[in-house]
Amino acid sequence: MSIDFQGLVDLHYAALYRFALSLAREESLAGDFVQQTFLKWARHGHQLREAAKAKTWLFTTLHREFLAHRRKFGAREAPAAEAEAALEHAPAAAPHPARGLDAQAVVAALGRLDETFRAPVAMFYLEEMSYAEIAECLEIPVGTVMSRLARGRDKLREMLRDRAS
Amino acid sequence: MNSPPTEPRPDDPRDDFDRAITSALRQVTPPAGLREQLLAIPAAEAAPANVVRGPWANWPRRAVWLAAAAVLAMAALFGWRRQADRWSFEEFRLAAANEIVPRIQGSERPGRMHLDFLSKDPAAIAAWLRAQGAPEPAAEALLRADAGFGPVGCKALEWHGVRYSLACFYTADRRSVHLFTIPLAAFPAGSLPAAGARPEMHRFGGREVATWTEGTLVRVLVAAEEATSLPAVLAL
Repeated sequence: MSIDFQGLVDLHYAALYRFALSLAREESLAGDFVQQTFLKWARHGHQLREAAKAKTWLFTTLHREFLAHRRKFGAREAPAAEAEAALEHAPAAAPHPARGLDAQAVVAALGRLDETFRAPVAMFYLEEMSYAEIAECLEIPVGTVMSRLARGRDKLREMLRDRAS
Repeated sequence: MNSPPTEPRPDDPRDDFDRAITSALRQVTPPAGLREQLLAIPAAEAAPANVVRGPWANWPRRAVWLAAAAVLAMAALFGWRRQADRWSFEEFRLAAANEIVPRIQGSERPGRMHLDFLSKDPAAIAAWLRAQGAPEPAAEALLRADAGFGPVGCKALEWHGVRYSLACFYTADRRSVHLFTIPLAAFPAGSLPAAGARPEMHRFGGREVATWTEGTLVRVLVAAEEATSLPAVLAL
């Protein structure tokens, strides 16, 4: 059984980038995390025993990269100018027909979530991962995922509702 | 690449609002060129990753790794450091471009770099670095005089126990470039740019990075701004 590198990139790089952007809130840093992740895959991906776990491996690795970066430099809010610039690249799409949501507003709201909730919420929305998958990627118990998701989702709804009103 | 929209499953905890958020987030597209950068990760690195082994195939390998880990732990206990323990040059280069330069740039305070010693005098910068036990940048010989370089200052840093220097410059159009100088001995053989060759050019996170070796030193030049072209400022 083999995993094609290009196929892996094509399948996951966009989702990984969105996840990285939601964590780092800086476009350039998000791109760097994705590069680091695939570089690690190129070096260590062969240690993975089940091809079906490639996606989990990639998300776990990217999250670890983010945590290592944060440990090294501490929590850091994205400077206003960089955050604005990153959001400029999110398309100014037409509001969602049902709820009036657009990409810029959602990315901004996600970025304002407390870091504890941001990673599980981002995985839940970006990749529509199950609780178990999120728990595996973040290396935390399923119960913790559920409670963090519940609070994170409520907070996100609240922020988007406030914005809409 | 966007994932196709999915029909809600009966056991799916998501409601319409959740699905609207997912749909909105999927409109965010990665920056142009990221996919190409990923695919350019050398085939030599990617090739061995193509084999996925069965669950039992790794046991002999695990035993070897466990034995090796035990030996390394013993070695560390007695303060024995081997060449294999050292971090690769590739990791240094990535850290320089992605972590150190953004920190030095101090984006919270535009125009203010976070340096240990500020000076416009190359001789003063060299003397300060010497006093810190860090290698000198000797940037005058490396950077094109007609690019209008002005030194800003420097910093003495440490990479896993090895002292190295960082010297920062402005170009004539007030763009900043950062020159890292570190002894070759900091890295395991084989991961370094070829000696005497022209600088190897890379791009990390939108920043252009040039690397080359010179005698016992390795240099890493990082452009802080995406628009800066390093070949245009290097005298090599």
